Amino acid sequence: MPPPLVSGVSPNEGPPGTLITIRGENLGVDVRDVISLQICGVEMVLTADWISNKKIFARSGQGVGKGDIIISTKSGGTGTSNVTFNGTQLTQILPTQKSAVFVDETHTFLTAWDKHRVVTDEIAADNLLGLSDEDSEKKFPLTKLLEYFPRCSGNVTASNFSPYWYLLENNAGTSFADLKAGLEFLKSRRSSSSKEPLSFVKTNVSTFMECQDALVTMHNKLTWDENQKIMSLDKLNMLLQAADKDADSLFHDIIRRKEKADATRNTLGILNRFKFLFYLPPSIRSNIAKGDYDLVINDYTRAKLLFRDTEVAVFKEIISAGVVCSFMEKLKKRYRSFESHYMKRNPAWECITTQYKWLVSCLFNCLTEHTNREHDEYRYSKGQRARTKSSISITLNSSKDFREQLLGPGVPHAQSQAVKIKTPQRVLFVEELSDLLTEHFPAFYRLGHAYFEGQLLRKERDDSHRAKIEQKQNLNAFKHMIGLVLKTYCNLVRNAFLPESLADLPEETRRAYEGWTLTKAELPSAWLPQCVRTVRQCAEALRNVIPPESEFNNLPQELVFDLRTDTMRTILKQAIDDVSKLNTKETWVLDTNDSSGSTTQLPGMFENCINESVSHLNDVVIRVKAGEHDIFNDRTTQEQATALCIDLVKAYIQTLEKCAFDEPAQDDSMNSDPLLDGSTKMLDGVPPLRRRLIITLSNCHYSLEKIMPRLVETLDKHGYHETNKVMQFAEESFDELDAKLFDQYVELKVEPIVGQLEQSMYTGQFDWSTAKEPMSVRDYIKECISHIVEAHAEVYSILSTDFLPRIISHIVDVVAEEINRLIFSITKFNKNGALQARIDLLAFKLAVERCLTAKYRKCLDEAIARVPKSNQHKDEQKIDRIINQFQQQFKFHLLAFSQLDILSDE
Amino acid sequence: MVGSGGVGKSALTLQFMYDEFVEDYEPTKADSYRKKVVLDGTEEQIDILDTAGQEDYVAIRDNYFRSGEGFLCVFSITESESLQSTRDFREQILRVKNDEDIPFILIGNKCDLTEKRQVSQEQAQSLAAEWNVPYVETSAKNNENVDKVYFDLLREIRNRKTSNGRKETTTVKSSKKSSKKKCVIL
Repeated sequence: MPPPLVSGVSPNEGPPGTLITIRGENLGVDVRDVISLQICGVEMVLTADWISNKKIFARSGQGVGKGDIIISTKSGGTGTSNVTFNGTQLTQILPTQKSAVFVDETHTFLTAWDKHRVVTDEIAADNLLGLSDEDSEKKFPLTKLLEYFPRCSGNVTASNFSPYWYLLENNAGTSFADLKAGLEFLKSRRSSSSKEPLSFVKTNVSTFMECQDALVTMHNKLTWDENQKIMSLDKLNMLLQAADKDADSLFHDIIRRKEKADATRNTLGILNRFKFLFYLPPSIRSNIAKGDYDLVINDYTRAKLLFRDTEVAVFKEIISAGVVCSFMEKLKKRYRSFESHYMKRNPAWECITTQYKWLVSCLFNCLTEHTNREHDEYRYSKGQRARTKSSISITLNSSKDFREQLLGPGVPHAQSQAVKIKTPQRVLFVEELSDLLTEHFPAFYRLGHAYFEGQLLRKERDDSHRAKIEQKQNLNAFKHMIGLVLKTYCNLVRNAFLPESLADLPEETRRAYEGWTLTKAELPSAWLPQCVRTVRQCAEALRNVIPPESEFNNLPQELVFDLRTDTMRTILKQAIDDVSKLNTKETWVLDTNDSSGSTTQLPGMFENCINESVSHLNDVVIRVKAGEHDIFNDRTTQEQATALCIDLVKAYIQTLEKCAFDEPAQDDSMNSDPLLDGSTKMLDGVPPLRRRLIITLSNCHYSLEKIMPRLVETLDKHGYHETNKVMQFAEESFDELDAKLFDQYVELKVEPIVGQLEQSMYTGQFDWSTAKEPMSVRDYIKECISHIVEAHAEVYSILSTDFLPRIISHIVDVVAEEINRLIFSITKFNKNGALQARIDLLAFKLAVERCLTAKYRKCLDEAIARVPKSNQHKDEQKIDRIINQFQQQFKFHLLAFSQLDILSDE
Repeated sequence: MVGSGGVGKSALTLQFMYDEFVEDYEPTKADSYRKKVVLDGTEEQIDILDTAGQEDYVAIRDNYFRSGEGFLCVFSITESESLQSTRDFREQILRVKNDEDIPFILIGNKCDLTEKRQVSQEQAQSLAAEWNVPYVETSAKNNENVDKVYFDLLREIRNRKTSNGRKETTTVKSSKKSSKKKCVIL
């Protein structure tokens, strides 16, 4: 058996008593085989727990430091170790100490393997003499013993041990010889036990030494503590003093800073209290500069009251020096004299008058400035670009904003060619004028108000009769002034935008407001809402100042009202203008719309045009602000609005009509053969007349059905009155246009068919009286049907299906009438001719019967009746055969009519 | 052997050392093992230090790592956190050893527990690729790839020593396993 080999240890480190798993090879064949197990040189075989020849559990011993684990077995001898165990010292692992391994504390304080104490056995005291106790039945009574040997005891270890008691108690029945032998035993035992303590001490010397050591240590510690106590008290004292010092020095800074802060705070408080005083000179100066002498005097008086009785030396000094005093007194005197001087002349009133004059002149200056600029600009642009309407690009904020809006879709025509869009001078003028008024008028008005309330003067005015009269006169004059200012403003604005409303004024007055180079018509209407907005804002600002019941309110209100009405008119007119020009924008591109056939963009453009205008108007004109009138409450305006709306529709209808009927000049070549190119779609040019007619018809229908209701709804929503009138008018005029277009179209279609009919009936020298036997339906009928189907296709491709029956039946009617006429004009049939005519008529009837109106069906029947009838059965059969043949040939043509029938049935 | 607690470091070690699989779990403190093996015809001695995975011992790991010549960093494929903590071990090892190329194998243990798998092979592979180390999946229970990882690491350590021309016979017990080549004394 090879020697044991230890190859694994778990854990590899630990304090004494650690349970270790030792693994390896040949670790013994059984428990008894292991005769030695040394861990770090300490024999620990007693703790070994043999599991297998590969694994043994053991506890580590006192060995410290790294060491091998050597196992010896009877079978294999002394082994070797591949691994080491690191024994650590027990005392090293304290609860707060870090340990490389898990410390099982149950072992830490339990067993220390080499410290087993042998507990000395208690000497068996009850058999001192070594005598057997067989005959101990003869017990000596305990009471007697107590009687004989009071205060004694039989206990060998007790101090009051009495040998007699002991003998009597234990050996009462023992023979003397036995006792003697016992004595001998005792003696020998004593002699042997006298040696025992020595050997006991010898074996346990380490314990004694330890005790000794412990005692010495204890002693030393006690002595040391004793000394230490005195020393530590001194030391403590010193420490405390040092701490005290340190604390002092630590907080010294803070305390000093706090003191400083307190002082600063006090100073600030004082400064704050007397701030008024320190500011006195500058405030006096600034008040003087502003002319507020009242305030100066107030301040001074206050200062004087405050510091007259002061105890503070520095104030006393100043006051006694009279620096302030003398200056102030002087000032006061001057102010008084100043006041009294002007009192006679009533400075306040003068001020008002001046203000008034200034304001009016401001307004006029504004006019002059802007008219001049416009003039310059006009002349400049005339020189540069004769076409461009001009204005200086002065940027006022609001007009800038608006310009940005304008750069969107609604660019006015007049300026659409200009690269840069400029705000018209007139608009700038209104803005500036309104700004001026908004800014200065309230001040003026309040000034006047304050004057009449008596707030302007400190002292009560004298109530003399004269003063009252003067006051009253002034009041009237002031009212007049206000009126004039407002009137000036209104007239200026009116002249700029509503010159016709000033027609009542005398010539020379009017001239004052004039000066515009351009006429009003040249102002793009798109700017109007902006102006209206400005003026409205101004009016609103004025209304905030002037009490509502005042008569002055009316002027701006009227102005605003007139402006709004005018703007509405202008914009609607502009819209009418635009609408009537729409035909030039027609692209003829068809846009298929399921419900109402194909339309071009024209109706859409019309709708946009109106919606744009309406929304333009809505913001500034129609919507009513507080304190303003609804412009539609005015009967005249209402009528005007309605009339304009009707005009709009009228313009639209005219446009449609123009589109349909006006022959464009440039496309002669394309229209040279309208029948040929009629079916092709023309993207680049204008389609031929009959196509235009149908398209317009469709547009017209679509406009009436879809757009008008929408527009009327929009108008209603925005508060227009009498929209039903507009609607009614629209319906009428659309119907009218519809009828016109329809007639024109049908005429256009029917004419060639009817014209050709007679010609083709007699083509090839055909004569009804010499006709040959009919073989099929004759060509003229076929041609005629083809043409009708062609018309059908054309209409069907564009118009909604509702139109088909109407148009086709009309055409068919006319054709039927013509055929009737032709048949009646035939004077003579031969037999074959009659047969042929009959076949033709029946075929035609078969084809178009469903589209015919009752009147023309009768007409056709008459024609059939006119043809002589053959009574031969053979002929009848022939007719049937040919008609059937025709039906086969013209299956698809006939399909068109049959579909029509279904549609009209529905 | 490094890796967080319970991933099977001791199981791998005992499987390698004694071909036994221990079912019960008892946290390791720090165990040392040594074995002589024949690697590619040469006899080598391998010292394995099986370390404690538990957090309680984080502070003393530096000492272990310092003496290690190669590291088997073990995580359990059934526990994604254990993969995450391999980053910490790697970081600490690199810091202590100050050597990017230290022999190091990333081991995904418990690969027999496929139904409890939380860490995909790709995840571990990508981490290994990031560190430029091999990744091997093992099962201590089924003795899959156990010898392989030890031998691989041993080979790597030996190659490294040979290439460095260093002749050392230091007994290194440290985290993972370290191998000594006694033969080089000659």
